[in-house]
Amino acid sequence: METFFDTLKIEENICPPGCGVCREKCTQVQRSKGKNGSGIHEFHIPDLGVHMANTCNQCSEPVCLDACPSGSISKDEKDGIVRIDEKRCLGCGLCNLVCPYGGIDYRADEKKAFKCDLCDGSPECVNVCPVKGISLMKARSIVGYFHEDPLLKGSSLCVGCPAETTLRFVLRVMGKDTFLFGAPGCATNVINGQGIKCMINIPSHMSNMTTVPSTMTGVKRYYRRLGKDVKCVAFVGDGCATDVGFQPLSGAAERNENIIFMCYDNEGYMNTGIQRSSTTPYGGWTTTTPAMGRRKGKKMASKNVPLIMAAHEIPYVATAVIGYPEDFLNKLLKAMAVKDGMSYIHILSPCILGWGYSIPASLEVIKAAVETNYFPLWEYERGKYRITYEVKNPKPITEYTKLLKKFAHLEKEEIDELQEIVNRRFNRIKRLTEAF
Amino acid sequence: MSSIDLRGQIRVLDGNRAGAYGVLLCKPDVIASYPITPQTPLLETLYKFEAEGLFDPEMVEPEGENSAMGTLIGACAAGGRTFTATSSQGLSFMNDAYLLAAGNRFPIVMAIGMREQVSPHGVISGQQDAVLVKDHGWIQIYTESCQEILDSIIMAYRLAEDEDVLLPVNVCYEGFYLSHHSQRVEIPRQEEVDAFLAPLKGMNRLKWTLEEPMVFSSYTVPPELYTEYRYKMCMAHQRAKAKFDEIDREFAAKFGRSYGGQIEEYRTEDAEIIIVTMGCSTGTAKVVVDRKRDEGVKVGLVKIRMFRPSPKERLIKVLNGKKAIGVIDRNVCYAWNCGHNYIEIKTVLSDLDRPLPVLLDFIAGLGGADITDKHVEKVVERTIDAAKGKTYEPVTWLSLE
Amino acid sequence: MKRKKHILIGAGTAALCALKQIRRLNREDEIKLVSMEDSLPYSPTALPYIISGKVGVSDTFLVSEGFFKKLKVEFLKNRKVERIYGENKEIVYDKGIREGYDSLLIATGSEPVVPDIPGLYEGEFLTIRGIKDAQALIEKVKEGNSAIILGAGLIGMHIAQCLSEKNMKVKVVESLPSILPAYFDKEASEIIRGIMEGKGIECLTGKKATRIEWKGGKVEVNLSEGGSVEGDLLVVAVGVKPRTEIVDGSGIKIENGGIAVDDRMRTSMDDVYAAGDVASAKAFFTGENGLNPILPNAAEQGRVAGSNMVGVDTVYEGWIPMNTFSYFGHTAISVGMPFSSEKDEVHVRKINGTDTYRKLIFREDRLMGVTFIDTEVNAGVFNYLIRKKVPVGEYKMSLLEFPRETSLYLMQQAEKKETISLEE
Ligand SMILES: Cc1cc2nc3c(=O)[nH]c(=O)nc-3n(C[C@H](O)[C@H](O)[C@H](O)COP(=O)(O)OP(=O)(O)OC[C@H]3O[C@@H](n4cnc5c(N)ncnc54)[C@H](O)[C@@H]3O)c2cc1C
Ligand code: SF4
Ligand code: SF4
Repeated sequence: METFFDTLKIEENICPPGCGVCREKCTQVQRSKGKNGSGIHEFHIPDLGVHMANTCNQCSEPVCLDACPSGSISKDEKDGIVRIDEKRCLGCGLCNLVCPYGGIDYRADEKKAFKCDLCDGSPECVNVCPVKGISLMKARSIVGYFHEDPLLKGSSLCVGCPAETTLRFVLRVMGKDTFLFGAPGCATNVINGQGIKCMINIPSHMSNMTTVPSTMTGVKRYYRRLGKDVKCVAFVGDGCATDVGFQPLSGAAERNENIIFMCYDNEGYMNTGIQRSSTTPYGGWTTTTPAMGRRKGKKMASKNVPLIMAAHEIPYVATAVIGYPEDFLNKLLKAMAVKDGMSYIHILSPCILGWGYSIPASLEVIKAAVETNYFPLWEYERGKYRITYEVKNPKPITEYTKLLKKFAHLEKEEIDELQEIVNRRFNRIKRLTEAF
Repeated sequence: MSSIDLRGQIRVLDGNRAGAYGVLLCKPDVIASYPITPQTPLLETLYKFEAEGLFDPEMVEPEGENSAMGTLIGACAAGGRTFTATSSQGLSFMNDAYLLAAGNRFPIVMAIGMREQVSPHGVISGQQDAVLVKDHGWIQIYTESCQEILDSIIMAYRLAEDEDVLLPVNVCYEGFYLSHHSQRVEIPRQEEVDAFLAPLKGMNRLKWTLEEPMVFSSYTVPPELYTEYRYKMCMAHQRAKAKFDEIDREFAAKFGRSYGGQIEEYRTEDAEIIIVTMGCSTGTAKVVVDRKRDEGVKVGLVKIRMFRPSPKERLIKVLNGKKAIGVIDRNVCYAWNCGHNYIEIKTVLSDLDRPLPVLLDFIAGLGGADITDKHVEKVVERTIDAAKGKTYEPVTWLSLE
Repeated sequence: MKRKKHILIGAGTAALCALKQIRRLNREDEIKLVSMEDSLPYSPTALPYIISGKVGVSDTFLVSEGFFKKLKVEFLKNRKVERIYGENKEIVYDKGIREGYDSLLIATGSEPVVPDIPGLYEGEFLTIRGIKDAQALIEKVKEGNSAIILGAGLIGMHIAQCLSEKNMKVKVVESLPSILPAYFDKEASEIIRGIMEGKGIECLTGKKATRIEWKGGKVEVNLSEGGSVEGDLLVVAVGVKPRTEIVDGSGIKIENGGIAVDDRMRTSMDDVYAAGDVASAKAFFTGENGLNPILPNAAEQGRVAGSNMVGVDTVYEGWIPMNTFSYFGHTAISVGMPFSSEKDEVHVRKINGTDTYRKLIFREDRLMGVTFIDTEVNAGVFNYLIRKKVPVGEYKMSLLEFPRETSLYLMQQAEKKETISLEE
């Protein structure tokens, strides 16, 4: 009975000091409905440099609802909005007392509780926030695209590895008419299972690292000859996609095969125990680019494979991360819609062991990679480049490198160099979006 | 009708074109091509056929041989009939996928327009490329003539896709001597070939479909199962031998041409000495055998057609009781300082009745050199001498003399 | 899997939350909800508001008829469960009807304590637990008349306020030295008392009722230390006790006057659970079992019981005392430990010229309890900080100065850490 609904997302600590535009707008909107209050509130603690806003999460199992003694709170089955029926509200304050997220405003003088009603689906605060810090998370639109999960629960990947979540996400969007291809690497454990035990319920194949795009070609072409449109989807690591299997990838792109090729880039050969690949970043530690003695990690910058793929002028190329699922979903949908050629999606997929961070932090790392422009989210669609997630105030690269042990040895000089690479690459993409 | 549709006609064709007609007649679903001399014209011809609408397979032009084989693996896994051809470095570059095809038991048919193998580089005839991959799990058929190339391709599909076999098959022919030399070729009619291949239709074969999802090529197979796979593949190879003889008989009945199945036995019955050949030098050798027969020498010839799996039983039968065997090898084995067929026959010797025949090896025709009647005559004479008890060199580098 | 039958006794918050949880986790099982009353489920918490006339009875029903249909639940009204035969997995209704169950929840709530005061039963005093009680009181409300309330707890003070708003003269008798003694310290309580008395409510604290006399429609309450008060009606609100008669003779263990449950809400009898006011359950701070008859606990315990009843192992973290009390446009909130002990660090903030009062109790860098009077906060956020043991060390002063802002900030940070932690 899982149900998912839209909810407001507020960026962390980016409000301009003193700003309360969202609350003012909400109050105005509510007044026009004859109500007095605001569903969103800014809070500023200048001494701590805190300038944020807060609102209700529209919880899936709202505790406020359970605690209301007059049955005034309901969760709408259709839009998921948690509403208070003002006429019934006693003003007892219990909802305010139990909501852990500060989602309910209670005013003793009014003897009423008040909360966000998401403007019944199109929240106005989103439009007025001067720093675009509020967005409506279209959770339902993602889940609405989900098919049955073809993977069993659990996997033999490292605990907390985002690759499995990413693959699951991809497959749930792709649906059952999918042939899945992997190559030797971490994800094959999920794609193909081990031995005679597998955890997948769609046809899947582990190729050699050099034969993924070609095998996909064969399957796709054979079914095409039979007059059947099947999805051929690859989910392979960077070693396969960008090194040893790069030639066939480029070949398939040039032939414009109607396949969807995804590289989950963990920036190295992780399944063999962390060796450098051509996407290992500048300065990055691996066992073959050690940071000891005379060596300071990898000397050269990573191969910019998504851009190279775009240079093939296939219909669709994108970068994506699981940390921005709406963005990812859109890209998957676009890739799936392409029927006349190839789609390539390059996914940054942090490796807990190889990058050196603690287990639950994958999303934090992904987010930092995006927020520092280390891994900009963009797409190339039939000749047009577009940045799909604009980072408002890109953070310095140190906000990313500080999270990862693989960069721990870098000194200012190298950090500057890495920053320079990041800037250069981002500007290149930026200029491409302007030029095309 | 297209002017290049020569089905049902008798024409003068080189080996590449003859091979191309063999492929056309088998109507593959997917063809992948990557050019490399000397097989290139075979693939080119297929493109002409396709362009002229003689058949309508999916034509894929990958960026390299490994991807060509990868493509066929995909198409074959899904249930399709496939074809490609390669030579020399193309074959070695394909190795990654070449092994995968065999290990997964995909009934792919691939022609090898044989050529020397690097290094030194040489766009020259030879057998070294194909012989080198003798334990990569493929069945290999070696041919003598342009007609045999065409016919062998048709037989190769029958063999590969047979539910008792399910193994990939190479049809090998020497570059230039066969690929580019023209001979009289009878091109069968489509209906005849359709009828010949018809038994494959009802054969069992696992297919990779959406309806019955299946994981293939999984990661860590437990040792017992791994061994079982190996064993079963070995058994499939063993079954392929008699099966090939059967297919040859059936082919003869339908088309009036027989090649003897695994091996061709030429005037061997009363022969005291046997010359062993493989590939196009057989024609020259047969001429010499006839000549020597006229002189009263009891010499016969065995042509190895099926190099892989080894036609052991047939060889034992034909070689039993012979006094001497002279092997002509157009390839080398560095380890033993001999040719590969010499090793093969030597292995068979232990199963023969005593006294064992003496065995001599003659390495000839490397680097695209001709194997002439003079060469073969030397082979016959020295083998006779050895049979008579004279001292002999076990291995002779004939072309160096 | 076989369909199970869950019977839930009581139609209050605890039972309803258990019911919803069972349905969330299991679509198939049979669920039966039994109430001895003849209305749709309601919460006693709403009663003072019915008395004050703010809402009508039907506006306080927790769910509608349609709810049961949609969730495929059988709602049995007007049936009292009298006995439980745990060994046979059977319950017995009034009139002796028996019914079997696979799992059983006892959520019978609590009932008012009626003290043993001479003369009490000689007249018609009131207690407030059900709709009928509220209606009975409403009948007696008459402008200008006076009411005496025994007990200055939350219920007593709330009723006092309601009656005062109806222009009755109200006197509250409390044996302890201050009002709302369970939740607010002396200082806070004095502030609240000030407001109450300003509105004409007389608070007679530190005085016991020693004898009740009924004469000619009036009631006179004699007090310890001499003196007496007289009124037109008498409401007894000296506390509640778990309604446990149903388990008499069943062998189910009773402690602290309630039904003993473990941290899965299981009673001592197999497949019998208890939740809400009736349960003696684990306390968050001490880990010891005890009573804490408040609505948020009933909800949480109901959810935990529901999960465990369908086999989804769920642990109850323990109850935390909390309450919010609104009176004449003011609010007093208490979350966590209301009183500090020796080892605690206490910060108090008052703002001159206002009734604002803030007290924060810390133990090392953890928040243990807060009291806020007339301070705009999101109270539940403090509950969050306490329950999640969020370290607040360097934010103590900020919490005192900007309690709403700082608590929200700390909650948001902690939420981020819930899923993402950078600590090694
Ligand atoms: C006047 C008043 C004001 C309150 N104000 C607050 C407040 O402001 N904040 C707060 O947190 N809490 C407050 N409470 C306490 C709160 O109402 C209770 O904690 C809460 O209702 C407990 O829920 P429950 O489900 O355990 O029991 P209840 O809600 O009492 O439900 C018990 C149910 O069981 C039924 N029942 C009992 N025995 C049987 C039987 N043998 N057979 C069948 N049915 C049976 C009853 O009819 C009833 O429906 C207040 C209580 C009262 C009386
Ligand atoms: S008010 Fe609080 S508990 Fe209720 S839905 Fe919003 S965040 Fe959840
Ligand atoms: S304040 Fe209103 S909405 Fe909130 S719990 Fe009380 S009655 Fe329900």
